[in-house]
Amino acid sequence: MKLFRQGSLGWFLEHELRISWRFLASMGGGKGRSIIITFAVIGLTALGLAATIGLALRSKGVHAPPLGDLPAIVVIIVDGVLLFTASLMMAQTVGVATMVFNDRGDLDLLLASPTPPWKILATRMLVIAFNSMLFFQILSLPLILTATAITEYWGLLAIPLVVSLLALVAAALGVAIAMGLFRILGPRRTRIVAQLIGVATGLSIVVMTRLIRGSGGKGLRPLGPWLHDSGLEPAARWMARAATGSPVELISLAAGAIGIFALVTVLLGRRFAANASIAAGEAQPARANTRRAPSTFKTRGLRKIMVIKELKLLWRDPSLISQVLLQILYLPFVMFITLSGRGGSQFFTHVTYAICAGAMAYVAGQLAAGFGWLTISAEEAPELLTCAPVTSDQVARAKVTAVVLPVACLLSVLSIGLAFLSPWAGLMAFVGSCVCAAVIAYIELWMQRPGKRSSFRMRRRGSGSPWVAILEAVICMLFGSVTGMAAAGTAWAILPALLLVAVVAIVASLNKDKWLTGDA
Amino acid sequence: MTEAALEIRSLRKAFDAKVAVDDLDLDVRAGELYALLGPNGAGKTTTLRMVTGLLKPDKGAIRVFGVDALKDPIAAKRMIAWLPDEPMLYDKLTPLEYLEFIAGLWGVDPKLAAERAEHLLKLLGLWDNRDQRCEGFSRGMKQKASLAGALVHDPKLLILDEPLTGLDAAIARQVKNLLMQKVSEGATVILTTHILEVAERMAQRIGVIQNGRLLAEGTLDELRAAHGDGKDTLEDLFLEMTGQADEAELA
Repeated sequence: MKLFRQGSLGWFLEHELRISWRFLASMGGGKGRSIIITFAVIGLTALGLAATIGLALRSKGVHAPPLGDLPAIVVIIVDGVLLFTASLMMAQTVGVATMVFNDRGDLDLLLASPTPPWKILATRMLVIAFNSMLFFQILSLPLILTATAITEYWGLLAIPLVVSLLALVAAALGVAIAMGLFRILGPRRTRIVAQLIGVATGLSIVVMTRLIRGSGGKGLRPLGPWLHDSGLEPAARWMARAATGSPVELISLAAGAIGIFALVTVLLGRRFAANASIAAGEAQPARANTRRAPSTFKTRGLRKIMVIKELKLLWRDPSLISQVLLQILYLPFVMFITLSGRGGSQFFTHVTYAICAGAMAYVAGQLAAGFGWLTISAEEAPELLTCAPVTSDQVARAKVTAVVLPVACLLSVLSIGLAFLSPWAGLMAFVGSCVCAAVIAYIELWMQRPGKRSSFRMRRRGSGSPWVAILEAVICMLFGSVTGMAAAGTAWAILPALLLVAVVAIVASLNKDKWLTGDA
Repeated sequence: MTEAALEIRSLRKAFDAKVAVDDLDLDVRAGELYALLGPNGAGKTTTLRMVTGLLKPDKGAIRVFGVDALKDPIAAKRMIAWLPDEPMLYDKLTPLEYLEFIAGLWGVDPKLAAERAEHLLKLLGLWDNRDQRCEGFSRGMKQKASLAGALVHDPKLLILDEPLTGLDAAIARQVKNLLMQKVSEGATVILTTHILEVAERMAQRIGVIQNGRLLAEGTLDELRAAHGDGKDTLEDLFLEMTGQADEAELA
């Protein structure tokens, strides 16, 4: 018997979940199912462990005071955490909301069916909400269980529910913002601007934490009187009560969140279908180049033509550029905040420079992973290159150059900035960034998985690629450590360097023969 | 004696337990248009992909104009152009930029390549679209741009896999005319097609392949003499040779 009536919202959700499950199960070359089960077992064990620790602490006499009428500091902490979570979810949903009408998938099939558009929109928004809250739920659940066991205050179990409701609101608002941008800016610019808004929302959190840090070392306490004076205290208390399980506040929050979600669904359902069809028309525009073609071709070597080709393809896809550059957009702000916070002893100043250098090498690697995937795995005409009278080594070197060059150019600006403060740290940052980018480009080459440029956002979700992402993250972190320690001038840099060489050597020996063997 | 453009000897390729090409011998003469026919899954594309260097054979030999394509693939690739059924294009490049890229890959003199590019784009009716990105092109336009790319380095051996799939009558005519022109200029063309009338009208010689083995080879008259009653169409002969005649009748 079917759980949901055919064509109902639940039926659509069931369909989405089935597709998602099969997609996840096909990850890692079909090992996805066992990977998910392993993670589920680990997760359940962690939850059990958290509850046990909480109960053990409780039995040892560790008590928390009853919450009663929440003290101001508790209200500030609870609301602060919720605001932080909601902002990050909002940053994520605004960024991905444009996918609602751009990600074709089965959208054309659904829109061609007699299904009301609001149902399709609602299903997609629920999926966005689910994805945006998943990370926070997984992260917070063990902590909440521990805290509940210690305090014996069951109301804390309302926090996951509140996070879910906030995710619903974030998804609805994200889609509403994306629709508004779509109307004002059109489909192409919307994708970029929505991503930038997402980044700005995320950055506002970083700036906010910096402001709190900079409040003269008094921490959160000055916020209490401020809340009182500004008249926001009732709202803040209402939210904190809902999160701590007070039924009236919780029910009113649920009603509000579901109301906002329903309102956006009903009001924008029809607009969604129109936007989706506009986006479909924009997907394949007959765009002319602004410059006329030259009358003659230029003489260039293979490496040069390959680099020019890759840069042209990237430059002409602003959506891809913005997605790749999102990773670096945070860096100048974080560097600025970190460097502005330096001071005190010379030792701490040097540590700050070293952290910046390490962070740059890490980001360079992550950038190279993005460029590398686009250049290597998402090569649009791999057969053309294989058929061409050039060796696979020549193609590989040209591809790696095409990956490293833009990363080096971008990072050189930041390196020069750092070099003004510390020439040695600036030099180390630049060298570390370039070498890290080159190594990551080779990892992408050795462990490539064919994909389409249009699926850049989803590139790590299929055919074993999650492991490539983890490996790349580990290598980037090791490069960050080596670069940071080298910038600090410590000989201990040799330890992570040796580990790094070992990891890369193992990966190279296992994979390098796979590159263009002919049966790829 | 006519020079051999392509010699295939004892070629074999298996994917796990499935043998796609089984001890295949094939000869294509220089300057002819050779049609390689066969039912779906017969091994046509696998054979051609091995010739172009896209797949590694399990065993066998491939010689392109006397060059061992397995020992010296670069020299062989210099003479070959490969046109699969799905165009090998870059959506964000214009046709002219695409041709410049291919000319660079094959190391064609830029001046000569520019002249050829202009000639080919005009011939295929794409000159007015030379500054437009390929992403907005129809399937036919993409196929034509891809064909121009295959021809810009003036290959001696042109290998096409289902080149007419999805093209309208006018574009299909343009492509056929261009292929005939290349043959008349001395190039060798090998094509696979399911449109048997195309093979019947254009090909000097026809090879029929099934289960990775060559069933028959020759001119249409030779095939008629060997397998039919002398008046059969290529379709009749093909269905008879591949054992699909009864199946076709039932349908």
